[in-house]
Amino acid sequence: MTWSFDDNLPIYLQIIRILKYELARGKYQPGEKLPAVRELAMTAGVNPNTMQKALAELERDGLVKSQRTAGRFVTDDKEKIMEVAKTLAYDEIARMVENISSLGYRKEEIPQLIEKYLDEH
Amino acid sequence: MLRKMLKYDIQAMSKTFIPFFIAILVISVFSALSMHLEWLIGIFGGATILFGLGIALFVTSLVLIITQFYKNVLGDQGYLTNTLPVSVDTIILSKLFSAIFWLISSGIVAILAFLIILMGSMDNVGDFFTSVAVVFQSAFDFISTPEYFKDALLIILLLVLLFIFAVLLIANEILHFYCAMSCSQIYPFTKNRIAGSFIAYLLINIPLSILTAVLFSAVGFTGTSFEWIQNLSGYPMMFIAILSVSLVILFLNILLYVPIRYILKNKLNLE
Amino acid sequence: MNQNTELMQGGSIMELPVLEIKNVHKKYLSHSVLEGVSFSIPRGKIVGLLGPNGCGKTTILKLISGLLQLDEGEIRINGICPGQQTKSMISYLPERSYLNDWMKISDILNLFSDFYTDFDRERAEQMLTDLKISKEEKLKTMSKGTKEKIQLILVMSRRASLYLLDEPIGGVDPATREYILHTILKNFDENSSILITTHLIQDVETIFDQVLFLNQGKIVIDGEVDEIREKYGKSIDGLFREVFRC
Repeated sequence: MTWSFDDNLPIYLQIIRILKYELARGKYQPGEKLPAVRELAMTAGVNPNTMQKALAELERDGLVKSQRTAGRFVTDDKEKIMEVAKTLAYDEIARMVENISSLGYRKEEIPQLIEKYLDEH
Repeated sequence: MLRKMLKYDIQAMSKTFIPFFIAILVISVFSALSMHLEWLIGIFGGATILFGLGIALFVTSLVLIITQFYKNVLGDQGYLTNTLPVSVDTIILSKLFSAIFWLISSGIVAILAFLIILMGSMDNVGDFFTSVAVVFQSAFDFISTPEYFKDALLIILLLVLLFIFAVLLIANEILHFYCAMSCSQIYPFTKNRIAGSFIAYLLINIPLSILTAVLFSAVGFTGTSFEWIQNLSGYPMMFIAILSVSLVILFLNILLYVPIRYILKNKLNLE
Repeated sequence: MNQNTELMQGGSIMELPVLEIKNVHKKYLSHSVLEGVSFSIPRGKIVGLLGPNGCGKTTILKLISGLLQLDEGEIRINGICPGQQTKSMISYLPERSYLNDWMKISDILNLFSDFYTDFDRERAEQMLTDLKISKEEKLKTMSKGTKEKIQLILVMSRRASLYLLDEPIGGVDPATREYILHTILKNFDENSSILITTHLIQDVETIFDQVLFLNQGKIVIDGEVDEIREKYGKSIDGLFREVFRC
């Protein structure tokens, strides 16, 4: 199954985001070898050049590293991955906060609301 | 590349021709047997079927030669044919040669059928083989006799020339079809390509027959206006006559070939 | 062929764009289809040629493949004008089925091996096996959809430098569409380029590097997909609907 993309963002940015999710969720463990660009491109249903660009970006961020002949590996640095997970979680919270605020709640009310929700479920 | 292409073109038509050939030969054997056994119903039935098969073969080969070119070069298959890394000449000549190949094969099958029936008509089948042997023996004797050697050579040459003439004539008719169909790529024939091809055929026919008539009379006129030609006798005379009409047909063939080549190369406009 | 490989090894051909089109005009009778089309495709790119039906996309592909002659302008494939030589560099998938009905799968494989030195027969056979198509099967008995897939397999099994795919996903079901896109991506390599025409953009825009919008005989937009998405803040499909609004 190919990935689905939003309309208005560049595709490589969306690929980066999806790959970060996969790293944070542990689909690819620290130090694990990543599939080849072409394979990743095929599972995503995207252009290999775009996939390449996204991976290069992740490399710049230090999340993956490439070894000349062996291919690309997830970083061994677990803290970096945790960092990514935190950033992604913050993004989700930011979105949630924005949505809840738009319903008329004040900022201070949000933590209570969340606690209440967690109690009930 | 021409050889590779010919392989596929001959193969494409073999699916139709081979069954026909087998049917004709089988019915010929049947007729020959009926004759040999003097079974009247078999003789008439066989003759009727053979006659029908002959007509059907003729019509089928005509249709096949036309449709093969149209479908393979100008129809949907043309999208493959015309994008193969081969020259336009290879495409046209391959179609032309494969058509001629099957027509000659049909001729050979007709001769075989005739021989089979001839064999059946003899009281003793052995007679057939002895007569064939006699014919070959005498032909061989004729050639190997030193004083007749030159004559024999001339006869063979004449036969070869006649064969070439026949092939050129067949090619002329086929190229006429090809030329007409190629015109379907050009306005106004593109409006209805099939009807356009028919109209183009008739239109080409006018200058073609005029030109043929003019050239043949020119050949005839040349023949009568030179005394040395008139003084020739027998073989040389026939030789010159066949050679000159062959050259006329060859010239006409080239005249038909040029526009086909031009259209396929520069004016192709597939649907 | 030898000359081509020498050029390739010499490296000079690698620097040329795979395809260069300059100011191309084409008329059918008095009806002008292309009025000064120019674009170029670098090596290793998948390019979408987008436009509404009947806008001249197929005409462009036919001109490149040598099935049509242009009236004005210039087309170069690896620096060479369309002709017999470029036909061995281009792998063209027309919209129509060009397969000969009398043939078996093995016959058409033979034909491709005979005429195209860059045809990777093993690859084609592998893909046919994946589709569970036997080599002894006759084309006559096959459905239109199967024939289309076979044609795509043949075209993508060549190691050509330019692939021209005319509406490869037009009118197919989603599963087939996925198969087709998968096949294209699987066989694409960085030394070649693919030019794909389509009027159905939504599901394929992620596979393009570059897109060209053809409208009324001219290229109106030519750019990298992500740059366009960034610049206009919308998908190629969204932009397409805006540009070609009726």
